[in-house]
Amino acid sequence: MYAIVVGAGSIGFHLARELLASGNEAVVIERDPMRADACSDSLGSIVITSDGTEPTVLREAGASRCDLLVATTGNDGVNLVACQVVKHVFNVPRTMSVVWDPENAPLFKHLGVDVTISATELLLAHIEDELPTDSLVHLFSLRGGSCGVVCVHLSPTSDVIGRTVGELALPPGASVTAVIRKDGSTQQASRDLRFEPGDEVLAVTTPEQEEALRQVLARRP
Amino acid sequence: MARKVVVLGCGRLGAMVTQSLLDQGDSVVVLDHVTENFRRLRSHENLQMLVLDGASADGLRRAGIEDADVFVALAAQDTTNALAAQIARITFNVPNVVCRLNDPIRRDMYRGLGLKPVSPTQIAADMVLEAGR
Repeated sequence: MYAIVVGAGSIGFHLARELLASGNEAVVIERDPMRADACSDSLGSIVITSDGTEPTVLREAGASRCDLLVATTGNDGVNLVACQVVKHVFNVPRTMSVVWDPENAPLFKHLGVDVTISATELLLAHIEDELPTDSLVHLFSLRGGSCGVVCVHLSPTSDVIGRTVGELALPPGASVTAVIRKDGSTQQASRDLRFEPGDEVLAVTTPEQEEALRQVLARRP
Repeated sequence: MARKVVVLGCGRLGAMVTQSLLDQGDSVVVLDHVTENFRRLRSHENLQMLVLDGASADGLRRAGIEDADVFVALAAQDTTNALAAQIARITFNVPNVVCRLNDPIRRDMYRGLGLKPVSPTQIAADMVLEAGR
């Protein structure tokens, strides 16, 4: 596989190193000369010191024959434009981007970025995993952000514990799809499935109904 | 009825555009992350100046983008403008979005995405060529 990595910060550098180590071809584009030098000192002459959003630079980097572009800079604007340029100008089949502002993730998807990775959301998911709350974690967006898959961790105090899926008054457009038990087993969410403490509830919902869904699952008795 | 215009960037261009919009009767919210840049503007009853990151959904929401008629992205960086303009156009459905792009190469791409790209570089180059004819 041939990959272009935009940004030689902590994410881009280690990503490029791993890609090379697993036998792929990779080029890194980094605008800052000091970062670019540090990267080429370690990885060899695979670094282009320039602006990874410029079509001429991307052409020089071989965008017209690359399989994947990964945008890893610390700036959402730079990451979005790099992905859009390779998609529109060079027809790169797959683009991935780091997204710093979680609110930008649905926009990036809508604009054709194939995969978005939000460190904030990933960390939040792990933090909320450890909290005794009925927190709703957004897992990913589908159909350009018009609906999404969310996970709600049921606290021991939730009113729905002991009730069945069929008894829930779900908001319109939301449906419970599966339940993961405390022991890690997965249950399909049939109408008769009964909630237990510690369940993780997987649901599909529109963004507008996320909060309503959370409240249904979090209601205190 | 007075239009509501949100302007991102209060550099020389942003300040000049803001002043002209006010003169023609529009109501303007201008955004910049550097307070000093607002010195370029005189206060006006229809002008609101906000120090915030205008290239984010949160910043634009605080600027009242949801009921804006026009959004004009005039920050220094093309990438900042491209991001802000697409948030305004797609996330908030602003009907008229103008986006400054210094590099004219990306212009067609953004025109295809429903934005109105303006390239000062291209305009200046055309004028220089015209004057030197």
